[in-house]
Formats: sequence, C-alpha cells, structure tokens
Amino acid sequence: MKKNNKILTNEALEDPILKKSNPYKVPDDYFMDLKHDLKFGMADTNTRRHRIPVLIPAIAACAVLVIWASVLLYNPTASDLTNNPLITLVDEGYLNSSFIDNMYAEIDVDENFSEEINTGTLSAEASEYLKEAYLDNDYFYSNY
Amino acid sequence: MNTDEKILALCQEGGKETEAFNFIVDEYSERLYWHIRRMIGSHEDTNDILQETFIKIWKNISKFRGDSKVYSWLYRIATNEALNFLRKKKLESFLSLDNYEGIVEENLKGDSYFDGDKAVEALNNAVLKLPPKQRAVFNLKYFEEKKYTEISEILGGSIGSLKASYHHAYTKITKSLTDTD
Repeated sequence: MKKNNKILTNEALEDPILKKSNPYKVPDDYFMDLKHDLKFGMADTNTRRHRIPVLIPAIAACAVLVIWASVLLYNPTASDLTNNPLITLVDEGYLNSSFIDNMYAEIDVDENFSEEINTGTLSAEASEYLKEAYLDNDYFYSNY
Repeated sequence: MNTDEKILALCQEGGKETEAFNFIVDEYSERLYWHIRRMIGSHEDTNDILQETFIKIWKNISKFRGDSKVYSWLYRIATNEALNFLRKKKLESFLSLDNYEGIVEENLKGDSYFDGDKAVEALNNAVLKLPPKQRAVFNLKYFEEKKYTEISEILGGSIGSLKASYHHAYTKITKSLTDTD
C-alpha cells in the first residue's frame, strides 16, 4: 500500500522510476482544484437543498400574491362588462348566465328569451339590449 | 480511529454528511482518480467520471451505514461509473462502426497527459484493450496491489472467478506485448 500512496501524488510523478510505472499525468494543481471544487460544489448543493423547504412556501406565497393582484387589477364587472348588454340582461334576471357561457357556441336567442318574449315581461330597455345583442350576434355569425 | 472509521462514524451520526464527504474527498479523491484513470486512459473522461462518482457518493452518503468497508463502497461506485462509461463508449463505437480498440489506442497517443516510453505505452494500451471487468480486476490487483478478498468486496464475484479474470487479463497482456515486440 505504501508504494501505491507514493504513486498517487503529483510529486511522485516526478520520480523517474515511478514515472515509468505511471505514465499518466495530470494538469498542474489538478488535485488541489479538484478537492476545492468538490467540497464547495457539494456545499453549494447542500445549501440549495436546505433552501428548498423555505423556497417552496415562498414561491407559493408569491403565486397567491400575483393571482390576488390580477384579480384586483382585472375587475370585469367594474370595467368592460358594465357596458355589455348581455351582462345587464343577466344582472336584471332576464337571461341565464349560461347564455354568456354559450356565447361563442350556438346561440338560440329565441329559446333563451322565449319566456320573457311570450309573456311580455321584458322591459323596453331590456328589449333594446336584447335587440342589440341579437344583432351583434347576427353580425358575428354572418362572418362565418 | 483511522480515517475510514472516522468517515463511517460521521455518516452514522447524522447531520454530519458534509464533514464526512470532505474527509472522503481529502482521503480518496486522488486514489479514485488513478483507479478510474487506469480504467479509462484519458484525463478528460476520467475527470468527468470522477465528478459523477462524487455526486453519487454525496447523494448516498446519508444512507451509508457501514454494511461494507468505506473504501470498497467508494471503489465500487467509481468502478461502476467507469464500467458504465465504457459500456456507453463501446455501444457508441459499435453504432458508428468504428473500431473501439483503435479508438482507445488513438486516444492514448493523442492524450497530452500521457508520458510513457514505448514499453509503458504498450503495456497501457494492452490494459486498455482488455474487457472492462478484466481491466478492473487487473488494475486493482496489479497496480493497486489489492487482495482478492478486497477486490471481491469492490467488484463482487467469487475469489475464484476474480483469479480467473486476472489470469485471462495477464495472458492477454503478455500476448499483446509479445506481438508488439
């Protein structure tokens, strides 16, 4: 084993007899750099590994914050939707909200409004909204 | 308490993995380097395999409970990494229809970190052309002067089969050197 230990050092490589038995060389300071890199590399991994339990809740908290902020910043009832006649109809109880969900599916306005139209319970204002929405949708579909 | 006992004690203590790892790096990085280098030949590949070896050691250090000796555990990881590398290389050369033995020889000639005379070059070429398992046995026995019981702990297998592997390796190397002359 003693002989092996001699072979295993850089200094030993300079020995002409041992050099013959070990022709392989390494770059200067290789082992010193290697040990340094291994120790600090793993220490860094270790630090990162310990950070994970802290990082996961932090990332989750950030995600919640971002979602909360987007909800606050984008309030559809406060901006664009107030001017939407269909929303007004839903708000006033003339239209099921599922109508909105089906807006880009097949819309059968007659069926959706049949009760109100047939019973004449639709207000003049709501009728206007309906007409507007109906025409909009007609226009929408006419392009296809 | 010798270094291996210290390493084992630190591994078993829990929470002292970094300390144990640093001991291993100090005590074994050079030995494992030379072990891999004799299996592989090229410095660059050896360096990559050694890094992989230490990553494996680090990942498993907390699970090491001293079922085997520290050195045999470390040598086993290093040997397996080297064998995997060789298997991959062999497969690549097979797929590209290159001559694997020819590549090994060229690599050694072109390695700026190889400085041997003709005889040493011939010996190392012959060793590098051995099948990987025989190469591992030969290196551990011839260069590192391990006992068969120690080699068995590292590579597995019976002492009889290891002796047979060494014998085959020795015969091939002798033939290769005689043919070269």
